[in-house]
Amino acid sequence: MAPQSEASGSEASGSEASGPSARRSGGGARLWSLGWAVLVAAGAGLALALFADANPVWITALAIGGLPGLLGALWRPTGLARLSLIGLWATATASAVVLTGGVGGPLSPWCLMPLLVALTLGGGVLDGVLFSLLALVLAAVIGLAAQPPLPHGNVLLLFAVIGAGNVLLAALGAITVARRGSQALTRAQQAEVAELQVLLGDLPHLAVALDRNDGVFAVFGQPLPVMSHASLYGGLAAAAATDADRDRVRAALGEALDHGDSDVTFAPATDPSHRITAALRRTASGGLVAVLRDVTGEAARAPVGGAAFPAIAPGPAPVPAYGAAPVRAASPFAAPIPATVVPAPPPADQTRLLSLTARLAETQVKAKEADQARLRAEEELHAMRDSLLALEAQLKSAHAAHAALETQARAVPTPVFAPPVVAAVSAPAAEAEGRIAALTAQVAALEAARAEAEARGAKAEETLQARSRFLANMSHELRTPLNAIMGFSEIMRARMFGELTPKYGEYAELIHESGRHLMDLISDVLDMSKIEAERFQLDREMFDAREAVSAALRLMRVQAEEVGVNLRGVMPGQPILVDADRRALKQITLNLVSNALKFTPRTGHVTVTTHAVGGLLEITVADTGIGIDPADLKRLGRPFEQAGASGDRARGTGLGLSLVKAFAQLHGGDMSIESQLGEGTAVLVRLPVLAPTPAEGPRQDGGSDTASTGAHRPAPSAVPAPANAEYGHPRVVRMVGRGAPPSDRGAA
Amino acid sequence: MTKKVLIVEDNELNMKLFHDLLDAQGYETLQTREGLQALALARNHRPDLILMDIQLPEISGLEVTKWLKEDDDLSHIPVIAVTAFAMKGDEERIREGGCEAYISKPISVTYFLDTVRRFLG
Repeated sequence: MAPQSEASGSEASGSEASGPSARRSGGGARLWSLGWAVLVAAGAGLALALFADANPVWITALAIGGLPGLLGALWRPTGLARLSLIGLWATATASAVVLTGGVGGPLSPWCLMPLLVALTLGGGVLDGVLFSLLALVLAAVIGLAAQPPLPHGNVLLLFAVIGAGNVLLAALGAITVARRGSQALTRAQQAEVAELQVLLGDLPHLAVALDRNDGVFAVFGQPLPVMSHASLYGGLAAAAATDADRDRVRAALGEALDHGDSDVTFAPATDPSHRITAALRRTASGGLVAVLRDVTGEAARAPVGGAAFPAIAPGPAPVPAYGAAPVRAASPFAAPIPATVVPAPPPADQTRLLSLTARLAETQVKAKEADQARLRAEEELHAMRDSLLALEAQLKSAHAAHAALETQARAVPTPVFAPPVVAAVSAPAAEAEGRIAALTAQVAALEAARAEAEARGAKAEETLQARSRFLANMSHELRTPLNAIMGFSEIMRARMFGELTPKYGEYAELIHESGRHLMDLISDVLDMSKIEAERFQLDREMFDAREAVSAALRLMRVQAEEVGVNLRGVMPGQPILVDADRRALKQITLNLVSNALKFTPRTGHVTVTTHAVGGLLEITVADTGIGIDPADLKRLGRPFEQAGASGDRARGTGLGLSLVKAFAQLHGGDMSIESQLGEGTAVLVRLPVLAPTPAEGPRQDGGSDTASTGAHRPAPSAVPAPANAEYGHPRVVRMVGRGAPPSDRGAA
Repeated sequence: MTKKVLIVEDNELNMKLFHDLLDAQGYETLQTREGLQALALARNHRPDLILMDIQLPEISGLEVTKWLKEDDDLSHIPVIAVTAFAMKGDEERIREGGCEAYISKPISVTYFLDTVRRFLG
């Protein structure tokens, strides 16, 4: 908003009307126009009524003069159109004047009409004056050329009354309209001022307007808790600042008045422990505005002392000028300050101002809280980083200690050096030298050992990763050709594209079977490799062990029927809740049963017994097969080792038993084999995986198959177990895993 | 109308196997061994089903599947991953990649045909 030289009152200044206010007075201008038309019509009617023989030319003149009034009542133009309306008025009135005897005639005052019209329309009266003059000149010039006849007597008088009276009334109306327009203007300004006030109220800082004499007459924006508004109204230097800072504030005010701006930091009188910074600016009208900020927190961070609040060097001249008591809004200097200089806002605005201020404060509080939360998070991060560093240091020292131990351990079996040295050199110097040399050597050895250990560790990790990658790749590369082998042979086996000779059909069958075998082999090799690479992860969960075993038995049922072997499962009626890898448990059973079926002749039996015994889960797979030679038993369980002559080996991958053993060991259990050549074999897997249930109950073997239980009692130390009805005197080989439970050793 | 199946497979023998199997069932096949070409073929021929090998010479089949699923015009075409990645976690990884089904190699012909039929009706 451009500065306006508006007086404190609301008197119309006669200056230009701005857009919105002119619009507001539009209704008045139209009414005024209509009034004019009515007045003229009334005059004409009166003339016709009084003088029947009145000159028709004169009546016509009245009509012409009144016509623009009708037009103005319907149309309220702006801009250029406004000028044409005024021009129309000038033409009409000039014509009327000319027709009624020119400038000397009774209607000559009508030449003022353009001016009055311009007044009612707003937007400047200069063009109105010009058009009025134009109308006057026109009337005079035309009058000179053709002297119209002047009427006589009463008619002339009546027309004179109409001419002068109408213009007088029109002038009164026009002035009223114009004044109302300018009042509307003042209202518009007030609205804008109110808006501005709200905006100022939202300022995030405290803004203060002052006159030249330190008189504060308006305060806006966010209040400072440590400074009351009352203390501010007393004057920035005179009341707001402490006595000690007063002179410096005055100096800053003087500096701002002289040079345009200045800054000063001072302690507020209401709370001297705080520090307030005032940024001062001179306004265009010569007053001052100050923005105040509480900088106590910032100041605390700066070095304490006077240097922290550099005062503006007091100008020598202005200081004495500030001794006077503060002058309030009535001061002559108050008026020229622009829109910020507003008397106290109306109550409604004040409420709004307050609520806005409150909202702002709330936002600031929230921002501060967020800031604090961020700081806290940062601190926590720092703490975490510190503990990480500490951990790293600990790790390092642990490594060093380990390396030292290793070196010492290596040094122990070769105590060759020390005695000869001590014996040979008796001089203390030589001894010290020797010791230093030994120490140096020790340090060097230590360093070397550490480097070697680190390198080895890194290499081991690298190897492990390479191995994992290799395994994944190998699996992929083997499966790809196998897909074609098995796919095509399955198509042939199913005779999808027509009949095959019996021989070819059999070959297709064999190819497919071999493919499946290869597939199993690949899976086993991968599992084994993963276990050896210690990359195999158990997926432990709680489940009923009977379910896993039953699932394996279901899968093997068909195979058992194919080879004519009777497959039986023996398990308790109650669930055996275990915490183990379900897949591993199933795999253990599958592998053992698969093995047993391979080595058991037709009409033989394979029995799978599942028990919870002495805190252990026991799975036994016993068969009435060919048995295992005692010489072979030791090799079993190692990868790719199979019992018997090489001709028999094609029947298995040689990995099944190794996997069973590995799975058992991963669970902290073990696997043992009892076998008698020609009688049969029993493989026992024991796993410490029973879930701790309150009702573990007594041994579950009471109701189970009597044929196998006796053979599986843990034997103290590879002593042959008691005779068994089915297996005779089986030889027991214990294969104790890493995690063999201690109860095994103590058992009698 | 004959259903069209796009086979993306870089092994010739496996390509022949899948083609012969689908051909015997009366399906029309489009074949490619490259991921980029698979995308172009899908765009030009609008197959009813895509069999996707995952390990391809240039771009992974998973990447191609991602592009297919991001394309509004092609995302509706079901993608069956037929792959020799059959180790622990592979199926989850591939299904998360946007494939509607997963068949591991070596395939079972019966299961393979059942799965294809499930998508082609």
